[in-house]
Amino acid sequence: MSSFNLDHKTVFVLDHGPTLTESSKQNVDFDIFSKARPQGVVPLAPVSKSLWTCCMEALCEYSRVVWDIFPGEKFLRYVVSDSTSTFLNSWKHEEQSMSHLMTKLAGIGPPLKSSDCSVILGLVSAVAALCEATEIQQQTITEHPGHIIENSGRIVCITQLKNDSHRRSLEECVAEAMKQHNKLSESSGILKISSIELVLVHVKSFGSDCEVTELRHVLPNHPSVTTEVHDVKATRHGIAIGNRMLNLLQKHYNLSVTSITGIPMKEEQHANSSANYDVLLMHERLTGTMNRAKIDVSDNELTSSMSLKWCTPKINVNELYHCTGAARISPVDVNSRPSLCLTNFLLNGRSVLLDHWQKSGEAGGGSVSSGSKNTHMISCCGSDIFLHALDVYRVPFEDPPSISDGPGGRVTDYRINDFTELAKKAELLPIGHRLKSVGNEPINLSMKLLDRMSKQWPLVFSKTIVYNMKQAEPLLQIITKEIISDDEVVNCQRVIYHLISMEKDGTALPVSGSTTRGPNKHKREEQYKSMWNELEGLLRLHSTISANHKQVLDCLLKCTGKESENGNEEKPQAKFSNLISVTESKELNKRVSTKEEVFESPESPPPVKKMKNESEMAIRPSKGPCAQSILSMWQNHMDNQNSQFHVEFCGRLTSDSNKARLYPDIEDERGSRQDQGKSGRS
Amino acid sequence: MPVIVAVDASLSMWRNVFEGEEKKTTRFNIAEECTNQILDHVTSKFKLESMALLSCSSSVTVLSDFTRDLSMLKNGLKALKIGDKADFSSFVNYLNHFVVKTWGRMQSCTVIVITDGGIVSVESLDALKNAQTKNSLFEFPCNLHFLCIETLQNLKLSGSYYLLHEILKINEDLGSVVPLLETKTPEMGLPGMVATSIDKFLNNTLKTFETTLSCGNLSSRISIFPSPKAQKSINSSLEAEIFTVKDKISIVGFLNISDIRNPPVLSRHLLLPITPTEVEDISTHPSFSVVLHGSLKMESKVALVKLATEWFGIIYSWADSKTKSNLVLSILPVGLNCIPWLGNFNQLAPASMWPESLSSKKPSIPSFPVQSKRFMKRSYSQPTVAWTRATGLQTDVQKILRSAKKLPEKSHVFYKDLNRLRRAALSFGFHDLLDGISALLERECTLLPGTAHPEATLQLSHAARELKSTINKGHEHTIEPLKTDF
Repeated sequence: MSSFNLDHKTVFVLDHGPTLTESSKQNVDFDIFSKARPQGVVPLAPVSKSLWTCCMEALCEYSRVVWDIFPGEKFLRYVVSDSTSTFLNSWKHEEQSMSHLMTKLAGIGPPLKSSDCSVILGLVSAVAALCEATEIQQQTITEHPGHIIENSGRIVCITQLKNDSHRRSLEECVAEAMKQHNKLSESSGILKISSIELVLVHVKSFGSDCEVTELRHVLPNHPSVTTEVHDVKATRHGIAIGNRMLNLLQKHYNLSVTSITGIPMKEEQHANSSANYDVLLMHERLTGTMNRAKIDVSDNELTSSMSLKWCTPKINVNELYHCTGAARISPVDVNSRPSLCLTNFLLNGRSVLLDHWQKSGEAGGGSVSSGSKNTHMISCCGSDIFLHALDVYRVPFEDPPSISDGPGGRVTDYRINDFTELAKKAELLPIGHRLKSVGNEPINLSMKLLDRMSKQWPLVFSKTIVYNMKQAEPLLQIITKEIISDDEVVNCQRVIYHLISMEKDGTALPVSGSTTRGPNKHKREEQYKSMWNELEGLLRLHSTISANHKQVLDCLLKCTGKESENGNEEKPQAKFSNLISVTESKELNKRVSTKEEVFESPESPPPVKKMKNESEMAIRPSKGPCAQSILSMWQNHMDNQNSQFHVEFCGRLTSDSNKARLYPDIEDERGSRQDQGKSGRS
Repeated sequence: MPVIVAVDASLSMWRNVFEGEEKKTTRFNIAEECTNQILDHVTSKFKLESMALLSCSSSVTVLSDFTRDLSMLKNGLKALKIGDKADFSSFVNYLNHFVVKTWGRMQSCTVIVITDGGIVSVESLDALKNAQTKNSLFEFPCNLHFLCIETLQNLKLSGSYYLLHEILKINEDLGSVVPLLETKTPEMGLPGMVATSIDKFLNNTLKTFETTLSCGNLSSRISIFPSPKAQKSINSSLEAEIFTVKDKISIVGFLNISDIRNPPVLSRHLLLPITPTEVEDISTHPSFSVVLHGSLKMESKVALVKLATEWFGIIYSWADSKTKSNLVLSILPVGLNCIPWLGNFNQLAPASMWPESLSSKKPSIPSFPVQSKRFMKRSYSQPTVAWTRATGLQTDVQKILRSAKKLPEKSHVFYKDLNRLRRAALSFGFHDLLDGISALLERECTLLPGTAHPEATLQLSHAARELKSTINKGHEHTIEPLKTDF
C-alpha cells in the first residue's frame, strides 16, 4: 500500500457569497508620505478592504509559501463557491503557481451579492477533487499497478458561519459526499479517500459578534473526518486573517520559523553606515532538530523558534561541510527590504555561515555543545535558497590514524596524477537528458567508462614500464576509448613500430629503480621482454571492445611474432592474388608508396617492417637473450635493411584483421549509384 | 557507533543467582563481570569506539562519560553501587539528554542494558507510550539490547519478557532481549555460562562492517566505521523498503566539492583499507584506497559511490587535524533525487561523453547546480505581491509615486508598476483601491511643479482615467502610455 500524507493535497473552498463582500471595517492608509508632506495637502481618505480581499491576500501568502518550500511536492486547489462551484485550477504541475492563481482570481472578481450562494456546492466539489490523483499519485499508480493508494487530503473552507449548527451541516455535507464518492470509487476509476481534515475558517469583520466555537474533533459518526474550526476577526486591516493563515500553514506542514539576526545592511538614507536587521524565514523542519511538540494557532505574528546569527559570508567553496539537513526557505515577509536584501545577496551565489544564537538564560533542551562552530549555513543551490544544518557534535571516529599509517600508506610512487586524469574523464555532469541514443540510465555510461579505463591500471610506477614511457602515451590514450577510428588504429600501430625500433636501437627503458645505462644488454632485453608482455596484456584486455581494438592487438602480436588470434589462417597475399591482377597491384603499389611518404611524420622513425614469416622472428629477443648468435644478428640486420625496401600496403595497415578492401571508393560509388537507380525506379 | 553500557542497579539485582548453590553469587556481581567483559571486548576489537558507562535505579549515575580509555571506564565501574528501584522512563529521558549533548540526534548508538529483567515496570511502559511528543523512544537512532541475568523461562513467567519487547516495539524493533542464563547449569559453571552468552551476543551484535570499494576494475577491501545503518526509504510514497549497504560498493564517477555544495547526509563513516592477510609488509603493499585518497585530496573532488539500488554516498578526503587525513564516506538519503541541485543521479554522465562537436558550438555544457525545473520561480526571485501587511501595499504605492514624479523619463517603470498594482487589486477583488489610486494620481497632477514636463500632466491624468475605466477589462488588459507628440 502506498500512502501519501494528509498535506499532499489541499483544497480551498472560497465562499464567494454576499457575506464576504462586507467591509472588514478596517481601513488601510495607502497615501502616506515618506518625506515631509507638502504644505496644504490633505492625505486621501483611506480605503477599506472587504473581507474577501483580506482572505484572498492571506490565501495568496499561504500558497506562496507552500510553493516556495514544496515545489512539485505539495498540491493546492481552489474552488470558488457561490450559486455554482468553479475550480480555479487542477492538480497539474503547471497550474500550481502564483501567477496562475492570481489570474484566475481576477477572473472571478469580488463576491456576488445574490442570496442563493452557499459553500455546500464548493465542499462537494472539493471532495470530488480529492478523489482525483495528482501527477505524483498517478505516477505511483502507473509504476506500481495493483498498489492501493492511501489517499487523504485537507479541505480549508474560508467562509462565515452563522452558528454552530451551520458548522454541523457543513461537516455532515463533507462526510456524506465522502461516503458517496467512496461508494462510487468501487465501480469507477476514481481514488478512494481514506481521511479528510476539514478546516473551517470563520472570518468576520471588526466589531462583529458572530461567534462560533473554536474546536477540533473527529466526527462521531464519521471517524475518517476531522474538523477544526477557527474564528478570526479581520482586525488591523486584515493582518489577523493573514497571520491566522500563516499559523495554520506552519501547523499543516510542520514548518519551523527561524529568524536570521544581525544581517549587516546598508541604510537607504545613510549609505556609509550599516545597521543590523532580522529576517524571519519559514522552512521545513531540519532533520536533527527537535520536533516542536505543539504549534498554537493564533492571530499573532509568527514567532521564531530559533535565532541564527549572521556570521560570515566568506566560505571556501572547496571545503565540504558535514551537513545533516537542508530545507528550502521562504521569507515570511517577502517584500520587506531586509528580506529582499538577504535573498538577493544569496541568489547572487553567496553562502553565509550562521551561528545558533540564544539569549542568555534561554538554554533549551537542544543546546549546542560547541559554541565556537558554525551551526548553520544559508545558500542558494540552483535557484532555490536552502538553510543547511551543520553538524557541531563529536565525530564518531575523531582522531583516527592517518591513511598514510595504514595499509599501503608508505608507498611513495602511486600514480596519483594518472588517477586524477581518469577521474577527470569520469567527472559527472547533469547531461544525461541531453545525450542522444543513451539507454534509460546515463550513469551507467560512467560505470562503463571507469571499467574500460581501468582494465589494466597499475597502482604504482614501479609495477609498470609502459605507463612510464612517453612514447607509449598515444596508444594508451587511444586504446581505452570505446570507439577508435581507423586513423587512431594507425597511430597505435605507429607507436608499436616505434617501440620496436627503440628496442632495435637499444634505447634504455624508463624502468623505475633501474640504473641500467650503456651496454647492460642482458638486463635491457629482460626489460623489453616484460614491456612487451605488459603491453600485450593490456591490448589483450581491450581487444574485446571492438574490431579496431582487436586490430591493434593483432598488430602487436604480429610484430612480436605471435599469431593473430582471429582464426584467419588465410595469408593476405593469397587474397591479393585472387582479387587483383598483377598490373593493378603494381599500380597500387605506386600509389601506396607516394601515400606512405606523407604518412610518415618526421618524428616517427620509419616503421620496422613487420615480419612476413617465421624466420624473421629472430629479431625478437623472446627466444631468450642468449639465443642470438653473431650470424643471426647479421641476418637480422640484413633482413631489416631489406625490409626497408618493402613498403607496407597502407590499405592493410588501416584495414580490419589484415584484409584490405580494395577500391572502397569505387564500390561505395557504385553502391550509392545503384541505390539511386532503385529509388529512381520505384 | 558509540556504545553505552547501563547497569540496572535496582535492589532486585542484589538477589543471588541460584539460591541452592554453595557459593553465593548475586546478579549484581554477574552484571559487573559482564560489563568488564564488554569493555574489554569493545576496546580491544574496536579501537576507535567511544563507550560510556551508566548505572540506573530511580536516578541515573554516570560512571564514565564517553571515552576510548579502558582504564577510565574500568575506574568508573569500580564506583558502581547498588541503588533503590528501577525507573526506566526516567532512564530514557536521561539517556536522550546524555547522548544528544555529545552526538546530536543523527548519530546512532548502541545501548546495552544489563538487568535481571525487571527494569521496565508497567507504569514506566505506560508513561513512555503516552509521551506523545516523540515518535519513537529515543531522540537518536538507537539499538537497544537488554542482557538479562535470568533464564528465558523465568523472564516469560515474570512478564518481563513481554514488557521488554513492548519497549523494543516503541524503539522500532531495533534491538534484542538476551537471556544470559540457561535452565541447566552447564559443566563450566555460572561464570562460564554467562561469559559464553556475552561472547555470542557481542560477536553477533558488534561487527566490523567490511565491503569492497571498487572503481571499474580497481578495488580495495575496506572496513566502514561506524557500521552503516540500514535505512528505510522515507521519500518514497511506496511501502517502506529497507536499504542496506552492499558487499560491494562501486564508484560511479567524480564531482567537484564546489559543485556538490554541502548536501545533507545521514551519517559519515571512516573508510579503512584492509590488508590481505597473505601480504607481509602491509605499509608498502600498494592500496587503491591510498591512490583514491591522494587524488581526491589534491583535486578537491568527491567520488560518487553507489551503495545499493537508488542509494548513493560520497567519498572524500577528510582531515581531523592538519596532518592526518583520511578517506571518509558520507551516506546520502535514499533516493535518486535526494539532492535537488544535483538532479537525478541516474541522469549524470561523464563529461567526456559530451560530444566535442557540440561543445565547440555551444560552450555551455549543462553544469551544476541543476536549476530547479520545478515549474515556477520562487516568490523571492520574482516580483511578488504581498499585501497582508499594510507596509506591503504602501511600498508598492510609494514606488509608483516616485516614478510619477519623474515622468516622462520613468514612463516605462511607472506603467509597469501601475499595471502590476492594478492586476493585484483585481485578483484580490480590491476595486476600491483602484479608485483610490486614481484619485491619488489626479492629486499628483495638481502638485506637479511649474517646471515639470508638460507630458507628465497628460500621462498622469491618462493613467488616473484608465485605472477607473478599465476595472471591468480584466486581468490581461494593460494600461498603455498615452501617445503624445512631445
